[in-house]
Amino acid sequence: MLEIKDAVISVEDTPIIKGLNLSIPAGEVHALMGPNGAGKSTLSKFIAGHEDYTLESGTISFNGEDLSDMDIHERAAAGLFLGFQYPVEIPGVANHYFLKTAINAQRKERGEEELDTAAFLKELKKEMSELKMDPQFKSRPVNVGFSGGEKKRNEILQLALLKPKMAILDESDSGLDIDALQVVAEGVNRLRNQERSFLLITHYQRLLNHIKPDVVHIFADGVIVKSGGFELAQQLEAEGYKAFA
Amino acid sequence: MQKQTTFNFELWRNNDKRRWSRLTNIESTHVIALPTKKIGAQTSSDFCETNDFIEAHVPHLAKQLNHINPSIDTLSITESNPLILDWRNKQASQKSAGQRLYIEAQNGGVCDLIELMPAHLVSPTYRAHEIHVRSGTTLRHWLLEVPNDITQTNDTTPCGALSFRRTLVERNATIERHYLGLGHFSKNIDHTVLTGERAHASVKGLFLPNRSGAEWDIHAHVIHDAPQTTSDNDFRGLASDGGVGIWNSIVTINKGADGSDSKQLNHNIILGQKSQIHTKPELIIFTDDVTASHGCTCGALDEDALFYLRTRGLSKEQAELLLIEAFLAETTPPQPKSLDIDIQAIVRQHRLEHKTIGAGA
Repeated sequence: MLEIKDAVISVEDTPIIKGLNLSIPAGEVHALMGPNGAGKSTLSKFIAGHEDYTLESGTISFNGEDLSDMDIHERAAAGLFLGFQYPVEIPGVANHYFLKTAINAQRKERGEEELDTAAFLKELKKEMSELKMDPQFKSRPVNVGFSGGEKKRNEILQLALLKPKMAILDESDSGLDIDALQVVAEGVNRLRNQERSFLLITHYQRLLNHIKPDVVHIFADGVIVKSGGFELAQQLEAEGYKAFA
Repeated sequence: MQKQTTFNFELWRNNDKRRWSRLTNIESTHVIALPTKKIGAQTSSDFCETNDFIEAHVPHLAKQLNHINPSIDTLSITESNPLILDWRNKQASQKSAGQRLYIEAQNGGVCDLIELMPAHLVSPTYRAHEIHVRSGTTLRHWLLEVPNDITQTNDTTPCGALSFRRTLVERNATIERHYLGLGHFSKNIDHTVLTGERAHASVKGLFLPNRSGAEWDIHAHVIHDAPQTTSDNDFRGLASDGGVGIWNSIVTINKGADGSDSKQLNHNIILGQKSQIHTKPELIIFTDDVTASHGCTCGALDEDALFYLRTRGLSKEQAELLLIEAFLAETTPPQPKSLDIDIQAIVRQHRLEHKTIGAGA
């Protein structure tokens, strides 16, 4: 589904990712683990299409389509979702209005019929109760005054409503207490299926105890140094990143 | 039952300065000293005659006024039956127009006054309006610049409007003013004196200069002249494609106006390289026991928020429009129930005329 080959990615002419190879087939959950400064967030923003990141060499494709020519919103409509480490607060925009606008923008881009308000609200209500979100978050401005856990839950809510083919979750576990982590993990597990892939970006094994990955990659200084199964995450937790550097 | 508020309504005859001098603290020189030259406003002898003026500008009032006292007329105005002054008529846009108006709101209760002004003028307009809000009365005053069609006239050279508004607010009375600034060139001098205890003045609004040569300007001065008076000035501006927005709020808290509270706020977004915002809050305080806050910001749209929205499927243009809409919503004038013009729709339409949006601001 997502194919990245020999990618060198730079920010203002400084290479951050230095020859990355990553292939995530449909239906698989991959975890990308690495220390601070390894370039994890750079990678996630680059895949989403952020203009500050340039592909110097190599290729990136999604479902066989070359991503490098696609605008951010076109990638979203094609089925890519990025869950933010720090979801952005947007004062003045009600959460439900934002969600509906996003869903319909994607549908329109794909040439599908727009979702009507009644159908949207029904689905929103259902997904919010699955995520144990207080109904008041529906009409509050997007992420404004949300706690860390509420913001991450709101990201999973968007994931559930936008139904992407592939979700990249950037440090979705950071800033969460155990209960909130459980809710987020349950949300992801519920949304796992044979077509949908996930890339979980994280520092810790903690999240992976709740969401079992198919493949674990260890990422340091802009390259993947080792790939393996869940046992790699356990080894990492015991030995630290130094063992792999 | 809804309380009826009475307006004493007077349109001045030429050179009649009785009204100005009758009110305390006002000198007629205030009016004369205005920098009229800048927009080419005419001298007072060119002002329309009162009766012509009423006929031309407020025909529905002319009827009511004819059979009442010709100099001072009383109208009953309520929230559901506002006084709408529509200055958009054709004659007004073709002829040098000067407007002088004295309005007195009294008897308590809430009353609405809505002024509709053409956004694009083809001749200079000068307005000198004075409003007296008597004790216990609330006057809600909308000053809306509404888009008008200028293609019918040959002369489309942009002209300006210079407006001088003087408001006296008595004990327990409130003036609530909502501006919508879309005009080519509009200068507003809004002078409010809180003369009685617990009087309140709120001056809020939006200005959206969106082309080179467009300049929207407000100088709002509130004078706290009695204890426990409160004022609130809150404007949002969006300057784009070479438009210029000017906000200057001055608050004076005089000796003896203890326990007064004033707020001044102005947030702006600048799009396009030649657009400008000039913002300046000023506080002049002559007493100790007061609360006064002020703040101004100028900036571009939040890049992180734009990226976030775009990853959710909104195009760059959609994301920009959504952020602007949210930004402007805060001080968009509320919709008066009885007005058949949709304020939100006007703002939305005007916003869409900003060329810079979606073109890499």
